[in-house]
Amino acid sequence: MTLLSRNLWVLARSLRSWGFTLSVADLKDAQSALLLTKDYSFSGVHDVLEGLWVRSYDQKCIFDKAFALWAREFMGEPLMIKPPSWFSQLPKKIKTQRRVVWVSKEETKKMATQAQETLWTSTHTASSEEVLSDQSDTGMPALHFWQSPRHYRHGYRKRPAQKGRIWNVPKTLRKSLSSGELIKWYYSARRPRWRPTVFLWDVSQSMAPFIPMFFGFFYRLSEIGERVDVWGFSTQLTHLSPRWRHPNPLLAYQELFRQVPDLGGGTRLEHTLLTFYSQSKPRLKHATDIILITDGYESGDCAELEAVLSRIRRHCHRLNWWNPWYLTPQYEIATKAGKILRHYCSVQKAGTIENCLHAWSQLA
Amino acid sequence: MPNLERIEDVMWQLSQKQYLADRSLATAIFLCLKLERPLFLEGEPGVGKTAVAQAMAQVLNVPLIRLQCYEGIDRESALYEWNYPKQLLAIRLYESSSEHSRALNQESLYQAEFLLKRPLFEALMPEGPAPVLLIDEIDRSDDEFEAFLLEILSEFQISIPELGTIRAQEKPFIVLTSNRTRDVHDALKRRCIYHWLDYPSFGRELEIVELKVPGLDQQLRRDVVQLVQRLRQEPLDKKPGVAEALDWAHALEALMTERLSPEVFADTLGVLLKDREDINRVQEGNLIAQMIKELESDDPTVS
Repeated sequence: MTLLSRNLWVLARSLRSWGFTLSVADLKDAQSALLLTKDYSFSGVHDVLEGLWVRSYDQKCIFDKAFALWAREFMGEPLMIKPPSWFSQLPKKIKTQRRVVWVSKEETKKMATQAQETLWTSTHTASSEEVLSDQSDTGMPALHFWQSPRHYRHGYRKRPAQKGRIWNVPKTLRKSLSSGELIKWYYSARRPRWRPTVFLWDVSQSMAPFIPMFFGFFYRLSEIGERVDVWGFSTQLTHLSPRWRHPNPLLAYQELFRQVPDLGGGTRLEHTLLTFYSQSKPRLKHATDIILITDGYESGDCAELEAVLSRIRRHCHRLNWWNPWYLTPQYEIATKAGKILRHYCSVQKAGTIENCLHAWSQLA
Repeated sequence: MPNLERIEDVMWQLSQKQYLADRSLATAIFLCLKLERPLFLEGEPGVGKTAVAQAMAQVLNVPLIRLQCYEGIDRESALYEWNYPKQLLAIRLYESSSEHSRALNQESLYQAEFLLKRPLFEALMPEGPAPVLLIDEIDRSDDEFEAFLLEILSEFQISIPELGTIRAQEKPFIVLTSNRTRDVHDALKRRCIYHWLDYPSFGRELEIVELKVPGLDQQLRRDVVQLVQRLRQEPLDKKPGVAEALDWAHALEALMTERLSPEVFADTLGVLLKDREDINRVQEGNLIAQMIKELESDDPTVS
């Protein structure tokens, strides 16, 4: 192993711990590319490695940072003179520790903010007491097997056909060849497509009693393969769907409390929607349904809530508001945020699992 | 084939075709040429992703084949399709001719003459030199289509069940672009050289405007670039790209503007900003007058 490849190897291992999928082949590619460019300056090496190892904008941000730290070790020294000083200072491999991180803790924190799964919208978090009080609630309902209607949308039709059906010409041709005569036309079956649905789920203190019920609903939707994307919000926005890959729903439910730091905190609806829109706008498709699950309480002044709701509504197929208290006796939407939401969203009751299923079936 | 043995050669050749690439982009293109891998360009709309493919086609002096992706695109519209009406006609002709239809079998119906070549097929089996293949806005296509592209991007070959595997004699230069409306799968990106095309710096954008709109007054050109760069710092829904800056420069040239004023800026704002809320934000916040004032304070000719 040459000194350069050893240094590249250490950089690659560090990047791997930040989610880069780099194999030995990638290292070989990098080395052969550097031999081709013959440019061993920092910018030259950076450009080559970026082209070969980076696969998304988020990775580029992390890579730039990591490369700067890596290059700092070689500042003033040619890249291939000697092994970096910090290389020998790497801690010995501990059996229980699998991650290889050679950046400092401060840098780690900075880079962690760029991880994809969580978007930190503010520095405010719920207190540990609030979190603990919610953790004591183990009212997780049993997830009964239920058949939910599939959330389909019509597939893209390639060719026009009379009577609304599409000819299956290859099959017709094949059958006619085997039978010797063109007798029967065959038609293509309609190809169903999943409609992407985004849930913005209020997990603040006022919505805390409904957390187990909604979790059960989302978990079941994910389990049957619906294309749902769930974001939880209270004082900050957290991407929740990846947490539910755990096969055991009870453990996944416990994981939810560990992963959402502000669960049961205050409600910052406007701030959440602004952040969601700015971060997800490129990814929002016009076929997407967005479901906002909240009781309509907002701790802010709602100055920009109307504008952001109007924008989100223009970027999606349907914007619905699932309100657990809606249509219950002696309840009316009195808050300013609630009135704005009612103007821009179609309101549905979602206080029980049956309500959720009914609302979902209306979407399907 | 021009001499592209160094990264500087790539930059120079591209500049000859009126595309000013920075060194990192030139490095990515150079590696694509040497390692024979596709180039995956990602970036905001209007930063010049498609123009890279067009410029490379001119540099290599080969045709450009463009495949515009959209939701629902499939292999029939991208690669090949059997000409079913022609096949049916052939069956009828055989039946009506004196020869017996025994001569007609499945193999004779699935020949190259019944094949409708689509952009990917034409790129792999061109009649002339290997072209530049532009697969534009891959993020608009479906996951299935992405998976289908894997074979082409890694092996430069396609498998047609009736004809077998067809491998490209000469590998085309492939450029994939994405606006990042969704994440393209890692398997596809792993086969490519990735490059994020960002908004250019002030100096680079000034050079681009100078190259593309040579008739514009030098001071006005500076003002245009400075204002566009300033607008990009605002929290706009859609920030103006290089394409919008060039459009604005062309618009000012057509209006025979000699100096930027708040009135001219307000009248031509629609060339730069394409969102009503963005336009309102700029107009209502007294931003126009403020930016023009900033320009004048930077201008040494204004006392």
